[in-house]
Amino acid sequence: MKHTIILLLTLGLFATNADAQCRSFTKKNCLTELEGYIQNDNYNSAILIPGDEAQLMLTFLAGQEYRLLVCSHPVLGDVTYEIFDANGKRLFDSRKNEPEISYVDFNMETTQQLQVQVHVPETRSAIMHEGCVTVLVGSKS
Amino acid sequence: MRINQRIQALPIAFGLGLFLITGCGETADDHGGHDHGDHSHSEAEMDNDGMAVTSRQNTLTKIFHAAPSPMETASLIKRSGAHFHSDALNAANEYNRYTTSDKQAINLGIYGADLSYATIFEENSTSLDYLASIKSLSQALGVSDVLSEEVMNEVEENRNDRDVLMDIVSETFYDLNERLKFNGQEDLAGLVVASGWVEGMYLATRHLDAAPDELKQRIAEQKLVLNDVMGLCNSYEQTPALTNLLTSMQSIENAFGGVASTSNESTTNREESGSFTIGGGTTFAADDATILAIATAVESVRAACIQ
Repeated sequence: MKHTIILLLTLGLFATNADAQCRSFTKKNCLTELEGYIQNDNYNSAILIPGDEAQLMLTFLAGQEYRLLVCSHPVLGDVTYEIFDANGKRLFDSRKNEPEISYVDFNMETTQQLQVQVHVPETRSAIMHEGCVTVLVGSKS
Repeated sequence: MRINQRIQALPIAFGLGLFLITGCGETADDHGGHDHGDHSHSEAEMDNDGMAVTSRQNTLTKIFHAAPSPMETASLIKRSGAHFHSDALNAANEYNRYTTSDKQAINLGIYGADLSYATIFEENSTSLDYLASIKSLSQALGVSDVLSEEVMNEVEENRNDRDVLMDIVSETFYDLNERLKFNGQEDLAGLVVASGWVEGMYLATRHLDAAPDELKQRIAEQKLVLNDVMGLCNSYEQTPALTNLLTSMQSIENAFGGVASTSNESTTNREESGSFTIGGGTTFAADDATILAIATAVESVRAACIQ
């Protein structure tokens, strides 16, 4: 029993360490991109592998300017994202954006619930890496 | 005796074996195919840059939940032409009445919304009072470092600069959310978000007789935000306190049932600057009776929160 607890604690420590690295990654590489915007309170970060997806549903308020930032570790390749409205109509596709820009700026004329879909590309590499992906939203009036 | 020792060592051997086999990837339970769960953990020992080798074979869809911040709600109130009402705030010096972690988290959310409201309306002296109370509640919850002495000094130095204060407030609540999640206290993070939204709505629905029509429109649209808040909080492990708060918010959901919506197609226009403008979409409308019902339900939930 004692050993099982030690084992669980050990495995838990690895998970905590991975989370801590994602927090550190986000602070170091992502938050600076929201310069000039008020960051949303929610911390949305996960460890993803090639082929994974992530989704974020969020209400964007009328009259606000937003910056949506999808920040990912370079080891995951060209992580792309799309924005859909509540009826599933695609409003934005990052593949049509400049490749080095990881964010999109937009103004909301009306209040809408939008869905952001993030795609981590597949890889043919024999050694597969996992990396942090963070979705951040900043706003300004 | 030796056999017993071997049996006792089995879990460790099995566990280490599992760890080595998975190459620091997801646990065996997470290998069950395309996963639409809420898994954010990995047993990987990542490098300092946030990456590691994985052996997880099956892909998953990570669902993030989020809701607009109290700062956005406060900004919306101001933009609609409403005035600042100091009498609507929960008194900043009441913080020491909240002695359980649940109550402290709930009132951290309440004070966070009050602070955002005061900051947006440039009531800077009031903002400082609320920051001090938030610091005390954060200390009580074991996340005092989100408002370190360094941050408080920065606040003092910039006490007349609304933009700097807004940055500090939003960074503080982002850090708080991150720290609570990291500490495995997602339920408390949920209480902060839910009560923060309730307080934002409470502030928006004061003095409705003098409220501009635009504010009423923005209140009706909060039906969507409530949906965000409930989705976010329901994604967390349900503790009695979180369940109680969400259950009490059912009355607000019911009141929002009177909001009418009309579905329209969304539009996008690309500006010369490269940014987009998104318009169209579903429109919301509420008559005065519905707005009043929302205000009454919010007031009742908020009264229980600050008790």
